[in-house]
Amino acid sequence: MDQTELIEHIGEELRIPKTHSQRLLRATLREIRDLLKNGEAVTIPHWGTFDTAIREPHRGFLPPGFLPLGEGYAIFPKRRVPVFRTGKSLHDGVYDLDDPEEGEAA
Amino acid sequence: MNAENKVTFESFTERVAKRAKVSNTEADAYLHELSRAVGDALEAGDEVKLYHFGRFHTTYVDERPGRNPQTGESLTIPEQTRVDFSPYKALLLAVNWPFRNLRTRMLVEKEAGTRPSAIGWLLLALALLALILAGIYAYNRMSSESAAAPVAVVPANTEPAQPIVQQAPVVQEEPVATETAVVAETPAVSTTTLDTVASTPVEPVAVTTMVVGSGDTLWGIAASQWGDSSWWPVIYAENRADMAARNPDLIETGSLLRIPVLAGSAAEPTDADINRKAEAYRIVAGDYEQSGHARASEYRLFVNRNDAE
Repeated sequence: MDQTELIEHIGEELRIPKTHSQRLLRATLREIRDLLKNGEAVTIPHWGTFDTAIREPHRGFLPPGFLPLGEGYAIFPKRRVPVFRTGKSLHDGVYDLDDPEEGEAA
Repeated sequence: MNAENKVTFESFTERVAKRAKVSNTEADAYLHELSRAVGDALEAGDEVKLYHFGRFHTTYVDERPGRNPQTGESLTIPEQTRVDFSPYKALLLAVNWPFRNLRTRMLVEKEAGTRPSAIGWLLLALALLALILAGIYAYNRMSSESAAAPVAVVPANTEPAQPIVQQAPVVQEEPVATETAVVAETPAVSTTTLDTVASTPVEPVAVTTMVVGSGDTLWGIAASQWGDSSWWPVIYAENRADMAARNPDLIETGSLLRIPVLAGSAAEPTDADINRKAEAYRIVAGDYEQSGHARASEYRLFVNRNDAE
C-alpha cells in the first residue's frame, strides 16, 4: 500500500475529502519527523512508538564501489537514528497472521 | 527512551490539528483511523510506504532457541511475524540533525588493524633475538662478578656494616630523624606515642624500600611482604611523616615507601613486633578519627584487644 492508496482508504472510511485526508497525513508525518528531530518520542495507540536512539562511533568496512570515499576500513561517526517499536496490539494482530479468526479479533 | 522527552498522545494530536488546521477531535479520529489502516494492511501481509518518511513491512522470523533472561532456562522462541520500520533518507537526515557535521573518516592501512606485513614479522623476530642475546650476556657477566665477590649477595637486613648494601645504613638513620621531627612539630601527640617513638630507635630495625606502583595498596603490599595484610598499619606508621594527606587509605603512585623488617615474622611476631603493630593501629585509628572515618572505632578496638593480650 502506498501513500495515495492509504489517503484514499482513510478518506473513504472517515467520509472526508481526499485533499483533507492528504493534509492530515502530511501533518502527522511531519509532526513525527519534527518530534524526532528534537529528540522527542511519541506513542500512537495501536501503532507503536516513534523514538530516537544514539549510535556510537564505530569502525566498519566500506564495500568496494562505495564512492566517493572508496573501499576500506572507516570510522563511522556518532549519529542519531529513528527507532520504531511496534505497539502490542499491532504486533499481536500481525503475529496471528496464520489464524484469521485470531487476527480479526486482535 | 526517557519519560521527559516523551510527548503525550494528546499534545501530539493538538500539534497535528494545529498543523493541518483542523479540530482536535478530527485529528484524533484521523490518527486512530490511520493506525488501524496501517495495522490492517500489515496484517494482510502488505507493506505501507510513506513518502519521505519510511516503509512499514513485516518479516517472518522462524522459531529459534533462546533463554529466559530471569531464570536462565533454555526455551524455544516461537515463530512470529515481526513489524519492521525502514526509515527513508529524509527522515534519517532530519533525525541525525545534531550530528550532521560528522563525516565518515577513512582509515589508513596501519590503523585498520590488518595483519602485519612480512617485514614486520622479520623485525619482531630480530628484536626478540637481540633481547635474548642481551639477556645471556648480562647473565654471564653477573655470574662471573658474583664468583669474584661473593660478599655482594648478602641480604640487606642482616648487618649494615658492608658498604655494598646502600639501603640499610641510610634508611636506618632516616626513621629516627623523621619520627622525632614529627613529634616536635605536633606536641599534641600523647605521651604514649612519644614513649614508643623513643623506644623504637633502640631496636635494630632494618628497612627495605619500594616504589608504589599503580593499583598498589598498603594492604596488598603488607600481604606480599609479610604474607599477612593485617600488618599494613605498620607500613603506614613508618611512612606517615612523608605523607602530606594524613589519610591511611591514600598512597601516591611513584612515591617511595619504607617497609620495616619485622624482628620475628607476621605469623610468629615477637613482643616488639606486637607493640609496634599496636602502636601503628593506634596511629591509624587516630588519623581515621580526625577525618571522621567510620572504621576508626574498629581500629581502636583492635589496639585495646592487643593491649589486653
